[in-house]
Amino acid sequence: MRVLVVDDSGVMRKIISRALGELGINDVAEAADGQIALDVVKASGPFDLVITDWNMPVMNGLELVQSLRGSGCATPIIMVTTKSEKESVLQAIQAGVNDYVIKPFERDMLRMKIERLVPVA
Amino acid sequence: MKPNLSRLRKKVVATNLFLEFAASACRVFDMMAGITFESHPAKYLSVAACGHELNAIVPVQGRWSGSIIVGVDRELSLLFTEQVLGCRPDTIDDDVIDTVKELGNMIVGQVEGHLPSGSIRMSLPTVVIGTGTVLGFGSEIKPVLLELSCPVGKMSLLFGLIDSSPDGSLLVSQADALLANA
Repeated sequence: MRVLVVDDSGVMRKIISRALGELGINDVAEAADGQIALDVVKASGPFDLVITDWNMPVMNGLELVQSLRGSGCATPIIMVTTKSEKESVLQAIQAGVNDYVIKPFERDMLRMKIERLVPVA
Repeated sequence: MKPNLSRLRKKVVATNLFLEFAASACRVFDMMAGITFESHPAKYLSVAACGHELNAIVPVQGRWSGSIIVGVDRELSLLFTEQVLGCRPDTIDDDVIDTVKELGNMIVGQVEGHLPSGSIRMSLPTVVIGTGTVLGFGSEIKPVLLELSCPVGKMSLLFGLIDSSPDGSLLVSQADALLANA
């Protein structure tokens, strides 16, 4: 199981990686913005799950999702963001995210959403 | 004597805004780290200084523009970082600074999502380290401070905002009456 975590906040990447580690998922790649994430996918191949922030410099999470889906990528994507307006959630779903987590969140809730999308041993 | 309904309405709006931020801060600390706070009465400041070791300055634009500063005591920042990352930093390192930056992002971002569209648009926070730095908001702004405490330490929300709505006056002057009556 390979997971890509995309967030410009180093500490948020660590928090999400910690939640993944608690599920036994330790093959985790990190990227600080959408463009770096695309470069990582291009260089190392598809992932089993992408967890991305929305607000990031260079390329935001929504643009990343649109780019991945536009290239035919079917990997499950979870958006983790402070944006809680209904319009934003709808916009993300229309772009192709599979689930949406609003910050702040409890790690249990994030773990539950991950387990729902990918088979965890 | 007839109450001034317009002023009363503005006072309610200002009160709700400040309380929304306080509630947001409580939610972030509780959900992410299991830390709960008591609140203290708001203070109306003539000079605003960073009273905490770490301060996330969050610029905002929209109906309310200016800055919101999320200040956190050293011990509290270390505890929060320990709770979210699972290991206690020895000192104020990049993890702690990143954590306080993310705190500002989550507290203000959460309120942004609850308010009507265009009320507040936040920019990326910057963290100032060290106490005593005096913050200049300009002569037209009188900052307001809300403080929250737990056994480990205190955190505060410092508001230097202007209400730029067409019918609005300074948000802080709206809050003035509220604070005087608190």
